This record gives sequence, C-alpha cells and structure tokens, in this order.
Amino acid sequence: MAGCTGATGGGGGGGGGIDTVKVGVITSLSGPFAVFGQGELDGARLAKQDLEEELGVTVEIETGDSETNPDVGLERMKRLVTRDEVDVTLGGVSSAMGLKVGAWASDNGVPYVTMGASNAMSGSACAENMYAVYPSNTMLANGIGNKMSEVADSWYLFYSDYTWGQTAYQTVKGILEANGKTVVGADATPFPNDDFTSYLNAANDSEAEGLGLLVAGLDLRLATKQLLNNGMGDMKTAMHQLEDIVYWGLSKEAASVMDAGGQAWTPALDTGQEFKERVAAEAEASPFVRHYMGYTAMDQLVRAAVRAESTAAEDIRAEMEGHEVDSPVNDIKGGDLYWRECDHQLVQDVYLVEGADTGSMTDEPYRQWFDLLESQAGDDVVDSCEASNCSF
Amino acid sequence: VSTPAGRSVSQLQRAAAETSPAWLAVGLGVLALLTLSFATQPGLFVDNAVGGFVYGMILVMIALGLSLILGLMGVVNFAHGALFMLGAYFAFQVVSILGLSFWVALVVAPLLVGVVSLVVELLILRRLYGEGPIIGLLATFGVTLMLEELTRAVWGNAPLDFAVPAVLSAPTDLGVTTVSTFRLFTVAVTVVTVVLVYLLITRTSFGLTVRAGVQDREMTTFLGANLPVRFTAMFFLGSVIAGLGGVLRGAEVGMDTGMAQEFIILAFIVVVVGGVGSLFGSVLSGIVIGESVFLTGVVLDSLASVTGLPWIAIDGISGLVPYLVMIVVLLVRPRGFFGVEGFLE
Repeated sequence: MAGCTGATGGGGGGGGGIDTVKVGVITSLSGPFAVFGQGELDGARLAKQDLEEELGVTVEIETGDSETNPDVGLERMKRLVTRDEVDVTLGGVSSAMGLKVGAWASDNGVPYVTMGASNAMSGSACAENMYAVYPSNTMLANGIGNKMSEVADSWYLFYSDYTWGQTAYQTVKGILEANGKTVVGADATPFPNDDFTSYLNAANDSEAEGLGLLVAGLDLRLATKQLLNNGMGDMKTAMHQLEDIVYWGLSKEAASVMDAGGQAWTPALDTGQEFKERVAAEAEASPFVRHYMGYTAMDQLVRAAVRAESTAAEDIRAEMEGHEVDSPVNDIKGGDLYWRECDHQLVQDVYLVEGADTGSMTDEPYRQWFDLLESQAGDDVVDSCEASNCSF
Repeated sequence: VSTPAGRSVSQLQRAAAETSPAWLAVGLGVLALLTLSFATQPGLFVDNAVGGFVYGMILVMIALGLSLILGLMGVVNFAHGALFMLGAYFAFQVVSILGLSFWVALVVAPLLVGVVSLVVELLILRRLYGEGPIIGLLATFGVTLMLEELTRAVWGNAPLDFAVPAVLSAPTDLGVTTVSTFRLFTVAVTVVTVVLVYLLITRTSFGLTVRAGVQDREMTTFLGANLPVRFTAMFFLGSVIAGLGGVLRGAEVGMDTGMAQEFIILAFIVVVVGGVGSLFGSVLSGIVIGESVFLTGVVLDSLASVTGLPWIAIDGISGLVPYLVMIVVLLVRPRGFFGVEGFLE
C-alpha cells in the first residue's frame, strides 16, 4: 500500500530514480488576491529548501500568475506543462480556478494539488489526478456549526452567493437547527461585495444574537469593518473559513470581535514554531493558512514522486492515495493527516479560534491576533465517502 | 441665461410631460410597493431608505470626478478607479507612515493624486484629445494597470487600514436609525464638493470658457482662451475629487489593490444613468441607484410575505440592481436622466 511505503517519509533518500522534480505553482500573484497567492508560493519555497536538504532531490519551481481568473489560470497551466515541462502542479486561491485547471491537469496526466475549499474539489468535480489540501467547505462548516450553537441561540447568516457560500450556509444552518437553535434570517451577498450596510440593517432588525459571516476573502474584512462602524460590535460573530490575513489590514479591535472562527491552520497553534519563524524571517510576512497550504502541497507532491521514483501521474496517484503524512508537515500542523483514497481529500484537524483581547495580540516576530479555542479531529468533521459524491 | 440646474429642471418637467401612461403605471406600481414595504417592515424600510441615500451619496462622490472628465473633456477615463485607489494609499502613507492626522491626509492625499494625474494628462491624454473615445479608454486602462502595479510595489499586496479621529468612528443615532458617523461625514463632504464644482463650472469665467471649449474648441481658442491649460486643470480637478473619494473610502473600510476596479464599473453606471455631461444627473443617479440597491430586497421580502410566494424574495438580487436600473433608465431615456445630445454619437 502507498500509505505503508509513505510512512518512511520519502525514505528513498537521494531521490532514488529521480534527481529533479519540476513544480508548477499557479496562483494569484497579481490583483487583490495576490496576497493569498504569495503566501502559497512562499510556503512552497520553504518546502523546497527542506526537501532538497532532506531528500537530496532538486526541486525547480516555475510560477504562473492566474490573476484570479480561471481562464487565465488554465492558459498558464497549459504553458507550464507544455513549454516549461513541469512534472507536478499546485496552487490557486479560488475554487473556480482550481476546478478549471484541475480538470485539465488531471485529464492530461499532470498531478495537481488544489487549494480551493469548495466541496466540489473532492466531490462532484473530483478528478483522478487532483488532490485537495484545504479542508473541504463541509469540514470547516461542520467544525464551526456546533461552536456557533454554544455561542448564541439565534443567528442571522450572510453567505457569498456562489457554490462555496451556499454549501456553507446549508451546512451551518442544518447544524444550528439540529441543535435546536434558530436561523432567523439569511442573505446571499454578491461576491465580491462593495457594501454590507443593507444586509447589516436586516441582521440588526432581526434581533438575532449572532451573525454568521460565511463570506469569502476580503468581503469578511469589509463586513466586519462595517459591522463595527454601524455600532453592532456587541453582536456575536462567527466565520467558518477564517484566514488571519483578512484582518491584518484592519484594526485589532475588528479582529477582537470574532467569537468563533473555523480555520484549517492558525499561527495560534503551539506546533510549527520554527516554520512560523521562518515565514516571518524569509518571506518577511506573518504566517497564515496559505503558507501552510503551499508548504504541504509541495512537500506531499515531491515526496510522492520520490517514493514512486517517478513523476508519472499514475505512480504519484498510487503513492498519494491512502498515504498517511509523515513529514515536517506533522509538526507544522499537529495531529494526523492522510489522503483519503475515495476522494483525494487531505483529512486533517480543523481548528476553532476567537479574536484575542487587543492587549494580548502580538505583532512581532509575526502577527498573532487569534486565540485557539479547540481542535477537532479531521475524521470527526469530514463527510463520509458516500456523501462526498466523488467518482473517479 | 439658463444654468445647468435650470435646464435640468426644465428637462425633468418635459420628461414628465412626455411620460407614457405605461411608464406612469410602472411608477405608481413602484410607489405602491414601497408603501407596502413600509407598512410591513417599517423599521427595516427606514433603516435602508436612510442607508440607501447615504450609499448613493458615496457613489456620487466616487462618480463625480469621472462625470466631470467624461462630460466636459470627452475622455472615458478608466484610470479614475486607480486614482481613487491612490487617494486611499496616499492617505495611508500620510497617517500611518508619516504619523500625521487624518485631516492632513484629507487635504494632502487628493492633491498628490492630482499631481499624478497631471503627469498622466501631460504625457498621455493630451496627445489623444480629438481621438475616438475608445482610444482614451484603452490608454487610461493601461494607466490603471501601471498604477496598480506601482501601488503593489510600494505598499505591498496586503490589505491596509489607517486610523480616523474618534469623533468619526462611533455610530450616530438619527432617531429612526443608526448610521456610521463616517458615512455621514462622507455625505457632508460630497455635498460641499458638488456645490463647489457646480459653482466653478457655472459661475466663473474659467468654467464658462471650459464649457465653451467643449462646445466649440476652435472658436474658443480663437477668442483667446488657452484650452489645453484649462483641460489640464479640469483633469486635475476631477482626479483630486477621485482621490478625495479614495481617502474617504479607505478611511471607512480600509484598502487593497482591488479598489481600483471595485467601483469603476459602478461609477460609469452612475454617470451613464445620470446622463453624460450632467452633474445634477450624476447626483440624482447616485441616489436612485443607492436607494434601489438598499430597498429592492426589502420590497421583495414584503411582497413575498404578503402574497405567500417565497420565490419572489430573490436571494442576492441587490448585486444586480444597478445594472437593472441602468437597463430600465436607458430603455426609457437612452441618454440617461439628463444626458447631452451629441456625445458618443
């Protein structure tokens, strides 16, 4: 089994039958989402250093700027594969891009690790050579739903008006209602949105105790800021897929109002200290989930190639399916991680955080504005294989 | 002598007289829906009516400079969004990096944006006057990309924010609803700016020669007006207003490099719906679009509640509203509320 051989953590030291792995990183390197893409690239570069040192293999990185446009991303992917002849690929901020480039890569025998979180990645649109490193939307929503039930009895929910937001809304609403809580209202908000005031008025008018902000990317920042500007800071707030960087452009007060945030990785973990410090020192950035994603995707693809002594898609697939992660990723992430064979989802712990008191937030050597509330085991929050609806 | 405002009022009266019974029925229908909505959800209706007005005035602030440059100079200035963004980043530099007050940034940042616009106008746009609108649009689109990348190189990719005075941070209780104080401040700045621009255009010899130059460039030049200098000054003014809008937006919700394109389409919609060349039209258009965005959801919710037909309350409709308003207005009045015949024809 691939999982068994993988337990050596790329034990084919010296690279076995391969000396070089050429990796294509396709993500948003310009535009408003560039900050997310840069995090992925920086994380991948750190993994490259570690892999070369540990395994003696040469890792070459070629980059392609998707400009957060799936069509551009696909064009970059084709160029990286056909002109630059990369062996494996990873990256992408949005699920839409992941789905588009992932389908092409998989069909053309190129392994691809996506960093989108939509269920479709490891569900209805799963592909035999595509792997989902980000916990699925359902995993994160399952993680936050029960916590929201503890925080408040009645909720108003905003959700980004596309598949990702709709899935999160249905999951969170279902959990809240199953726990006897009330969803007094909900609004699908455009993505991206330029103003949340009308929705905030509706939430305020509903007299709900809590506001679930199931909105993507920088919209969370806008919604939070306008929530405070409108004097609604006393309302309980929750978000299922929180990425720290969204708040770093705001005041610490804005971050402190978050009562429950779901995260795939957080700098508040007491593991991965060296990784966090390296991000701060070498990437000159504060570590957040995209650094972890970039690192993990690079680490896992290259190790799979080394174990397989091949960069052929079918060989890497054989190594990835069912593989239990045994690498520096374990220290960075904490807990057990494994690639589920039925849908290529990396099953891993998810975390619940809350905004720290502003006085205890730190900025040096990197920003840490959230406190860890609890960890939830990946197997407890992931959907069953049957429910994931994946068929290769 | 007729003033633009006077002409706008007479145009409004003429438009009302020409309105067909069908459109009159539509108007009455909208009024009935608003009344129904107020009756069923009075609290939320008032909240959103006030919020829609404030949002509309913010749109006016963002679109005003664009309206000036497009209306008076005929330049489809796609770089307006980038100048708007620069206003926010310059303010960040003044407040967060240099440690000066927000009030200093409110003056200095727009002026710096104006200086940038002078470079753009002198080096690029001045060579393009008289060319078709598409040439100016492409050139200013290129300027947008350059300014975005420059901003990214200087200030980085991460979203940024800067502090505003405490007096503007707290919400204001208006009795019927609570509104962000900063938004009210934005409305006040917008009103003052609109009035000053109106006076400049209609009550000064500078404004008179600019308007004359727009109508007959050759004759105005022949009579001794230095039109290139006046057009440069107008571009500077429009850009300063864009920068001012950027300072206000950045202070309210923070900034990122996506700002340049976040509002540019909406600003064009405001100008087109208001009618190219009409300041008054842009103000009315901004308010109409603002109110439409904020009230459509409430109205549909009320209608769904009263009729028992939940499908009427379409989720996510507000994002489409500006485009629907534009379609409806252009169907009735192809030149917008107070558009000037001749432009782009």
